[in-house]
Amino acid sequence: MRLRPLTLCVALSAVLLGAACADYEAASYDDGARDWDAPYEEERPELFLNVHPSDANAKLLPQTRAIPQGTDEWTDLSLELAPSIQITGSVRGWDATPHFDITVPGESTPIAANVAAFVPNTVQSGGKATQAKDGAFEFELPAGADYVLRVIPTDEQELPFLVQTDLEFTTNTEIELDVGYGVGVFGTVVDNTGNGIAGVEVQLIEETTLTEGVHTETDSTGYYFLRAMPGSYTVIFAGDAGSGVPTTEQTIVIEEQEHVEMNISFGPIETVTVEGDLLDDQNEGLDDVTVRFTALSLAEHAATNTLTVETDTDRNGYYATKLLPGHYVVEFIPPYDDGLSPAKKLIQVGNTTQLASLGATSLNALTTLEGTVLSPAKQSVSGVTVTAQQTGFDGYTYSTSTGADGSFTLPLAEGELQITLTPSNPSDGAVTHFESRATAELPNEFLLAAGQTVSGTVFFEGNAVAYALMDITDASGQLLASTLTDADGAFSVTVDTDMVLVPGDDSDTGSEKTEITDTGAADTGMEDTGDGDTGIEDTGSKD
Amino acid sequence: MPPEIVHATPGDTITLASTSQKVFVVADDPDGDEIVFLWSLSESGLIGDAVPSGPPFQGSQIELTHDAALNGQVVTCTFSDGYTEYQTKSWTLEVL
Repeated sequence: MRLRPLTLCVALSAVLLGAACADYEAASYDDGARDWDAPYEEERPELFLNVHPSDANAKLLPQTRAIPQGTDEWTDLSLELAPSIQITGSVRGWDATPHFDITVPGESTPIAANVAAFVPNTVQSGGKATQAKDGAFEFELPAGADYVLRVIPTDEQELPFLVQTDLEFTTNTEIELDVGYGVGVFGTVVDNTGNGIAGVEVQLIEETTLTEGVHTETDSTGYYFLRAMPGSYTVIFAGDAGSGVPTTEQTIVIEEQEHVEMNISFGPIETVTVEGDLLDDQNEGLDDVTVRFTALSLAEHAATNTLTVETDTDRNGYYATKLLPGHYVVEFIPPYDDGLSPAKKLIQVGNTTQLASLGATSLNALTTLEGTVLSPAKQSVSGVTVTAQQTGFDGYTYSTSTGADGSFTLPLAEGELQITLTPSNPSDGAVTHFESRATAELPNEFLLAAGQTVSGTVFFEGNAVAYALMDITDASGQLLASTLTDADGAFSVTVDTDMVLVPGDDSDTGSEKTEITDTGAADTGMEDTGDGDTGIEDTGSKD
Repeated sequence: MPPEIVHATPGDTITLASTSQKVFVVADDPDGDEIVFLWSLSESGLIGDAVPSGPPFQGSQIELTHDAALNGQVVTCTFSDGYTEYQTKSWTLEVL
């Protein structure tokens, strides 16, 4: 995410923060604030216009049009959509037997597979699942170029997957696909005692297109076998997180006719059961709260090993799961409609105990943000959609609209947020984005940026494409604005391509609960202040 | 009078063939009341990160990621003006 230059952030925030931030207020608004009428000094960034036709044009498919970086003209755009074309064909594979010998091709046969075509970084895609009886598929795509086609066998795990790039589909096309039989990728996944680990999911990811390919699971001896075509791959070994088995990845280059043996040792899988309770402010247990443990480091495993374990609370608010020793971030995420804020802790899981308790954690109720939205000319603006989305956790979003006096009241979760203001009338200002740190004191006046207008008309074969959803994003995928075309296919929206930062204290995680809990003796360099009886040490929290 | 869908993502099935897919509804309330939208998945429960779609219209959109766990699930948008019976619109998901 690109932020405004720091001086601009501070100056604008001074206005927004008002009396609550005297230091910032001391910076002169007139001297330092953004001059909304000044020409846009920076080169305009690349924009992506994603058009999602509605049921008003059900035969059209979602499509993306890019406005190249540096293009001065963002208005009166004419977006001509491509027609939908049919892709038909069938998929075959080889019943290679025995699996290790590619010189024994077996029999060519139709296979069950997922066939998909897409243009990377756009909304253009289509696909179909085939059945083994005939391997046939038929699906639609918007006509165009730069397609990636991938075929991933779904039943025959020993078959390779197929990726083709730079394809152009301009008319109805029939294609016959054969995934071949590739070469073997095999090995064993073991723990530190050499015992095979069953149930580890092994998956190949093609490195050029990041296509997630075929996957299999290790058997009871830890053995796995896959096939792949020549190329560069990342191999993901994903253990059963609920049993404390981590995930790791390796890269391989597969040459023609050369099998690859890759054996993996996960090290010790000696877990600690971590338990606790989630309570509301009446000390009642909270049901169905997601508890997500993400390892920052594992004490006895390589840095390439990761572990994310997710569980949820029962009706008494109790949760328990198995973790490897190490440092974790724990997120407590209540259901969306519970009216509670999520919380976060840092914990350390030691290796000298088999059971550790995090004790009781309480979740705070949502807070309320009251504010007023002002135009760039500092007039209150009605009908502005105010959306606040949590940063991190599950990205919960809360929305409301400003009333006749420009004021709004919005339930709000604690923590870092991204707030988006979307005027109903583009002339009132741009869709404006604010990013606040957990510790930031949110302003009660929100100023719309002037921004730049993006407008145009969407056509198909000379006819207007009415009531299509238009998403405008930047190169990072950040949603800048969203609107609908009208009955004439026209759209107009004012976007601000920068993010206004509501500053907070970088050294503090603020309202997020931050605790260091040491459950044992692992020497990880973190301060251990004692209390080995319970396996719990709380070195401070910020509620 | 309850709100009604005036436009939405077409069809009854949504195929997730690549990274993600937008699903949206646009509704109108004959009485001019504010409409509240809630999205859910048949197995995964509530979706909390819906955002409005295209003011000045009343609408809502979600972005579904290419996640095998979504295959076969039904995504439903439930919406209401707070005074009349709630309305729903659903799609079945196919993940490739």
